[in-house]
Amino acid sequence: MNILEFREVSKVYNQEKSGIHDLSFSVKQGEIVALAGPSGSGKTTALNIAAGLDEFCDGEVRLLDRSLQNLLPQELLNLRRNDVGFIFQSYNLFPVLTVLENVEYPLALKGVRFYERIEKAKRCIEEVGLAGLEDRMPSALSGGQQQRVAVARALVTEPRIIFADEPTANLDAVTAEKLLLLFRELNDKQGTTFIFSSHDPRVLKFADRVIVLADGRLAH
Amino acid sequence: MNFYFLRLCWKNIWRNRRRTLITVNAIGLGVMALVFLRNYYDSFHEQVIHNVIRYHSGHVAVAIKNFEKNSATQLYIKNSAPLIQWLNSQKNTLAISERVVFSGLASSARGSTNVMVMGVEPASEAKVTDFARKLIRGSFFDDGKDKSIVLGVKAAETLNAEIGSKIVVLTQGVDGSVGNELFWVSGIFDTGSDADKSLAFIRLSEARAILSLPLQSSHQVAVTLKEEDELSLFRQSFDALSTKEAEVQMLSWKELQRPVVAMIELDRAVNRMLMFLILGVAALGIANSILMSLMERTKEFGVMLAIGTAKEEVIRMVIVETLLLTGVGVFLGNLFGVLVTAFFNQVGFDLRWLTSKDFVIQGAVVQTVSYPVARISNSLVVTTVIVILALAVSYFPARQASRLTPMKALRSH
Repeated sequence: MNILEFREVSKVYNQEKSGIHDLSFSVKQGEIVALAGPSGSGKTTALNIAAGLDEFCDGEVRLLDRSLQNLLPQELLNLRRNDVGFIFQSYNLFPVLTVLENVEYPLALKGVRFYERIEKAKRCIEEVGLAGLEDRMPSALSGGQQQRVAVARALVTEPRIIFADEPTANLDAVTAEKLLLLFRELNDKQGTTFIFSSHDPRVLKFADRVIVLADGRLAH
Repeated sequence: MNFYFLRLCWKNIWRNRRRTLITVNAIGLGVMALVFLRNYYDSFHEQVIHNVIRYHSGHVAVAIKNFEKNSATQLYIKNSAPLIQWLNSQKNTLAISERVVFSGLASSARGSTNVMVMGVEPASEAKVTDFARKLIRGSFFDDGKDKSIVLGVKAAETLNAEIGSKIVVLTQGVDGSVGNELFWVSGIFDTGSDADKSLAFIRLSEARAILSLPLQSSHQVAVTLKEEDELSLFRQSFDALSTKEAEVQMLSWKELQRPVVAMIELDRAVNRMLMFLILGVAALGIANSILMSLMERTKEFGVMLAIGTAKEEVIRMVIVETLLLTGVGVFLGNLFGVLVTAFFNQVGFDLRWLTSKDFVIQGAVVQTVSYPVARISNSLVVTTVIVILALAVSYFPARQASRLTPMKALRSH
């Protein structure tokens, strides 16, 4: 079953120099897929469109069997809250919140009660190997640890699909390896689908399937 | 918004501690100054009102119509007994003083001066006005002698009179005859007001005799009410009074002392203008602080939107942050405003360094030292205005936040 489908999707920024053009591909439930390609190839644009963060000009994107362009704002909001997780390249943690509070955030949005929220957030923090660091501020963590917090934040609502933009770009080799193993573990345990944008060979080697983009199109 | 988001908002306002402290200080200082000023002005106005009431006609004067315009001795209540009886029966009446009033010439062996003579029942008058308590020599008709007169200190100086001095009062009777009588000074008062040079008291019966007025007649009855805010109730009762003479009217101190009322109104208007100016400046500080904070956190808002925060929740967050920031300033401002008020309530707020002496408004002296009282109503007014202004200025940052889309916000630097 396809969890994500791109059907001739186009997104143009300026004078057709960047963006994506007539892009079509699909991702199955439980797959780990990497969108690869050089800078400006359109992989981040495709990832953002797939996650419902960015708009597109033509074509159709179906996520979790729903057409994104036909979604009402509230439906899109529910999709982001319940079914989709997003891991940003530069972590983007909330600097005023502790590790625990950062991971709690998506649960608080869903209105999960305090004790359940704390329990789930702590369990996720433990899963990403940061047990004991719950009360630390993001600024007191290493880059790898911050990325793990971002992963825990994306995982805590148990989404069906997680999008990650260059997840290893700011990590050293050892930390990147650990993170990828964590993704695999989650994929095996929970069947979570992962879609990365990356040009890191380690990620590409790790993915079940690599979709290569060039100039906003599928490369052959 | 649950406690989690309230805590997030609280943490957000303190992310730039210095900027927040500056804004909180601006709000706090403004609120403190206004709370204290309003408390001070209220006490000052009350003092003015109290003095005007206690050195003139009490809360209410009942007299023949147009008496206050003509002050003619011929305009008198022919039989004030039923009126006096009715006034005494009213539950909101604290004290009444029946008066015969006329202007005349007071002469001693060494000088003369024009005076306003007030014929009163001493015991009643002492309950309505404060002259009996302002005596510096002698007594307020306590000597038991007939033909006593109580003078203001300046009039006494002009007349070179002392206790026991003879004073002749000369006036024209209501029947056109010349009225004159010899009095002995029994008391001298010093109020610091214009009354000291122009007012003299004699007994009511003796005043009637000089003017050839019938027994039980009077020019006015001064009434002190138990509470000043019972004035309108009293007026309602008075208007319904069927036994009064048709030409009798009731004048409140506000009608008798229009310049004082106008001065207080003007003071209050200036105070309100000052409040909007000070709080307006504080509100601009709030707007600046929130806008700066928003600009710095645009990318963060993008993340929030990307992981499922609704635009309405972002707007709510901006408004709550504004209210929290304002709330801290308002709390501190009110706290210190009340403390400053309480301090000056004990030691007195002394304006003598600005104005060298007590001053006189409409003949009533007003002391430069006031003892302000903290009133919750003043804190509520100032708090309400700053909160409304804060909400108004948070509209612009909130509108800016509402226009964000995840990608636009995430791409910002």
